[in-house]
Amino acid sequence: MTLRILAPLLIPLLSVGLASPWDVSGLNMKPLPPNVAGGVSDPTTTDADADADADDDPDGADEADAADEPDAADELDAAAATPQQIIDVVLPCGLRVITAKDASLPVAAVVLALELGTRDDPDNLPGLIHALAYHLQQGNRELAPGEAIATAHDVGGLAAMAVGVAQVRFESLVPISRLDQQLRVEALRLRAPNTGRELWLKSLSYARGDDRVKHLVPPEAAAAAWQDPGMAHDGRVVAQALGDMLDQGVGAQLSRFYDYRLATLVVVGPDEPEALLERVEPLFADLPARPRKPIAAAVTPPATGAAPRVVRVPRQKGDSMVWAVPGDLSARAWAQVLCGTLNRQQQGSDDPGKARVRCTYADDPRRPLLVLRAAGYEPAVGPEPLIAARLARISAVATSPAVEPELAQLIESQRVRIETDLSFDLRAPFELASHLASAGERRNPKSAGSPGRPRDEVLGLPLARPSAAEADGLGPSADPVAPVAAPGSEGPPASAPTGEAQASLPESAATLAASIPELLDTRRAVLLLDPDQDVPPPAHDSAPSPPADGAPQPGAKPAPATGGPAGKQPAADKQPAADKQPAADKQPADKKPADKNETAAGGDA
Amino acid sequence: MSRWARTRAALVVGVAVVGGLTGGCRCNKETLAPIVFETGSDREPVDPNSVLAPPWEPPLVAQLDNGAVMHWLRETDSPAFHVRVLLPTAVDADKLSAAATTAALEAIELRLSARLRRIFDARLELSSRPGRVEIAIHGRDADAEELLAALASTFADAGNPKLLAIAQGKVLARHREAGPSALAAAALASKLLDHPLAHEYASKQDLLDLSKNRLEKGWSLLTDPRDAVVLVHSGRSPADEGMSEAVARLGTRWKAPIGFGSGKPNVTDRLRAPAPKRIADTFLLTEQAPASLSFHPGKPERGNRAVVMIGRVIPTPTIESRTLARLCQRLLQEELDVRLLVAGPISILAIKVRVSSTDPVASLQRIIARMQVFNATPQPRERLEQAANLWLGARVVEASLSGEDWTSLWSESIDLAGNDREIFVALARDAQGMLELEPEQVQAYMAEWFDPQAGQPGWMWAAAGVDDTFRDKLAASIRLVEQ
Repeated sequence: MTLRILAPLLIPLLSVGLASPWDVSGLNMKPLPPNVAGGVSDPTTTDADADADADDDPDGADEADAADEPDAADELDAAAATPQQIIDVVLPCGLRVITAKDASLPVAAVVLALELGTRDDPDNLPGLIHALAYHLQQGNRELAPGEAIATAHDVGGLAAMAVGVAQVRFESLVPISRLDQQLRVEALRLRAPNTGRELWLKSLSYARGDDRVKHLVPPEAAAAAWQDPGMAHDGRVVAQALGDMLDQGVGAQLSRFYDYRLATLVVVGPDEPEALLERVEPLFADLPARPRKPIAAAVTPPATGAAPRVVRVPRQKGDSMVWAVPGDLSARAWAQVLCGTLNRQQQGSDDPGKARVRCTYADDPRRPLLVLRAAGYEPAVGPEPLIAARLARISAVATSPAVEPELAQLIESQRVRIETDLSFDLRAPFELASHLASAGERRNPKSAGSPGRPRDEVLGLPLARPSAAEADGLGPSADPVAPVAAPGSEGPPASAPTGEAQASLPESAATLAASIPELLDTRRAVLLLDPDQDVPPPAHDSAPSPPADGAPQPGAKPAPATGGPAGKQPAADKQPAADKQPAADKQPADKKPADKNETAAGGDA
Repeated sequence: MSRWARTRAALVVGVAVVGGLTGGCRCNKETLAPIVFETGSDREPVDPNSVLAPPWEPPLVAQLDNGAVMHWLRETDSPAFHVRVLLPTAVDADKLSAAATTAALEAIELRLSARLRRIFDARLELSSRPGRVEIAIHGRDADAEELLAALASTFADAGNPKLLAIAQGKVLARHREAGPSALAAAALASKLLDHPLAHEYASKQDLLDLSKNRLEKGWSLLTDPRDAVVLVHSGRSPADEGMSEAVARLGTRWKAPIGFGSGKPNVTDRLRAPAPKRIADTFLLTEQAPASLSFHPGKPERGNRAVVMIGRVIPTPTIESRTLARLCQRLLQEELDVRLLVAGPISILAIKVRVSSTDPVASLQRIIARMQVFNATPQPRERLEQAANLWLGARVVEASLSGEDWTSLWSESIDLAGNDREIFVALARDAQGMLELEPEQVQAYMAEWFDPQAGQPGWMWAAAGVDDTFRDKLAASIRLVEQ
């Protein structure tokens, strides 16, 4: 009798098994034994032994497992209760070191980030920073030309370089067994690099071969948004002047720009952060003790009046406005929250019929941009009133969530989305190390306190403040954020109903407004116009008032990361030394957008 | 009803009941013996960092209702979710053609990628390893249930005749005849493993010849869950709320074809191709027992060069022998284009040679002479360490860059292990063994297995891109067999 004949009879019987509901207890699950990971040994128990062990006393085994479970659970609870820490210290030589743990695989990521970029190119030597970054691969007395790259490649690792507007990074991913060799490379890289003519010309040829960056925003518009003329040129050009530089000139420029006191070394590996730091410190112990160089803050420039600044760029439709986003991790994350909110925001009651606002976020470690493009607005007044109205609604919700509960919920959902995206994108050491290279600088030196910082804080995740209900069970937050007045309105948005409904609304909007207030004000933006277009009338009557609390003005003009060439920046624009804000920066080639629809990543070498 | 008829009916019912209770039973403790993974717990723990192996723990093992075996690797707090389905192709190599496999995979990709587009950050990856194809889905752990549901639905509905026909058409539309290199490699593999060429290589004619029945048969053979293995890497437990239902759905929606049994209980048994029945006793370009060269007529490669693939099967019954074979291949690869496919107890060595039309036999002789010189040259310990570190480091670095997917490494570990119990330690032992090899061991092994004119017999070769000029010149010194 063949199977074909038997099949009709077997189907019902087989289907019993096929359709049986899932029951974990019915599966042959082998519970996780206590921590025995990674052991390597010769077989010590035969299959027969193993089977016998398994069959001996299943109940007893279950009991043992059950007895083990609470311990494991306690350990997990204890681990969860202790927030993960990231070490962030400044060594005596002025180098900042950040170490973090990622134990998923036995690999370590090492990133040496320098707070300078193509914006620091001298006027007569465009492309200098980019070319010098390549030249730092050419070795010195301790490293042979190309050894820095070969150290990673010879063990199957990855070596990369990223040169942006205001940050240069040397990135590598190596097996943990080769971490010390890679750290040695980074500890030597900036020390008296070779300056031979032949090596310099080779560096220029590498620089010349780089792909050109595709800009989401025209460079002149980005430069205007940041009020930073250094951003207007192509930082990857290899001009004849670079080829004409003498060896001494190359050496002088290297020592002038590339300095450990401007650098941050990030190490992410499977060891504890303290252990990673212990591997770093001896490598820099021989450098003389020097204070860290003051690094200009990547803060956005102030408004210049009641109207947004206007930039004339050919082939513009006059429908776009560009904001400079503060170059710190938290502001970048909140800018993405804002962008996601704007792209999903419902039309307002006063909006024209087919009005739309589309937001795009151009990420960069130190010089991010936010672009809003309006459609369906009244041509005579330009896009500003429409955009300002949308932003004003968000600002109003920040003060009183109950004004527009749906919008408050939308902001909260976008916050959660971005937080989840970031946590997911930063799960591997390479991405995490690149991200940490842009972390805000801590103010206190290592000796002044604990070197540890909460991981979430350093990563700049968009975390909402505790809700008012959670805080005191009463009304809205006690930390009101000054709303931005809607165009044409007399004052702040009308107060919304308070009470139970308001108390239960999320506080994300308030945190957003507090984190990036400049992005809610169209007077801090740049309006892109074609040279032939007329300037529309301003939507506001007056310039925004400066902060009253004496805090550093967020719009202060960023100073160059290093002593830039004479005439590059007007002296009056430079920040006072007392400000000592972190420096500004550039673009990562490998930066993965958190939201591919809304985020445009910059390009690196 | 006659007595005989009643007896026959009772017999049928009896057989059916017995069959149903034994072979048909899907998910119970009798079908799957517990696996006690070697963990080395009786010894001093070895730091996984020193041997470049993932810090994983033994997986949870289960058999789904449809017969698929699941290994669940848990990494606490991992925000990512990876599921990888391993579908053996070598088990029914004589019935499963490359053309049918390609069409079935295309159907899976069509249906599954459409479903994954609706899940943020979800990604589909199709790949192949010796004797199997792999379907991997990567996404977020929070979306694990949706990802598993997409996989289950795809296995449930992608095998319908209409979609398979569409997939066949799409494969045909973008089909380009492979170059001599791919054809020669496929021909060598089919010779070494004693498979039909159609199992290794899908020509346009093979695709055109796929009838509805053959497409459906191919789908059934390829996606039979009783031969399949499912690997999961997640931050959650399969017993978590929601997850258990998703896994159960995978076991119920992805149905097995009608048949007996629940499949082999061990994943190594499921995935391993049977060893070739005939072991060749031939050498290359020798007077005694010379191997004949099977060739495929066709247009030569760029530069008017034909491609000859030289190869052999190397028995690799233990992890140590696999490690030795791998290191020898890595060393020789610095000189020649050498590949090694490790599949448990056997490994396939293949060396690609591009021969010129001027004197193709001399080209082959030069390559063999280079191999012999290389084998005779002692390799310094530093060079062994360099080759080992490069191989081992690249393995973990690539895994990290591609999303820290442990299922990919576990799949590789299956290939390195001799049996299921060894899977857990195979990667670590492979790394440790490779770093401890002595130069003398390597030289002796190369002399035994990497010399086409001495050492162990079993060498074969196949050529493609052979035109009349090549054929005449090769035939002067080598016996040719046209394929």
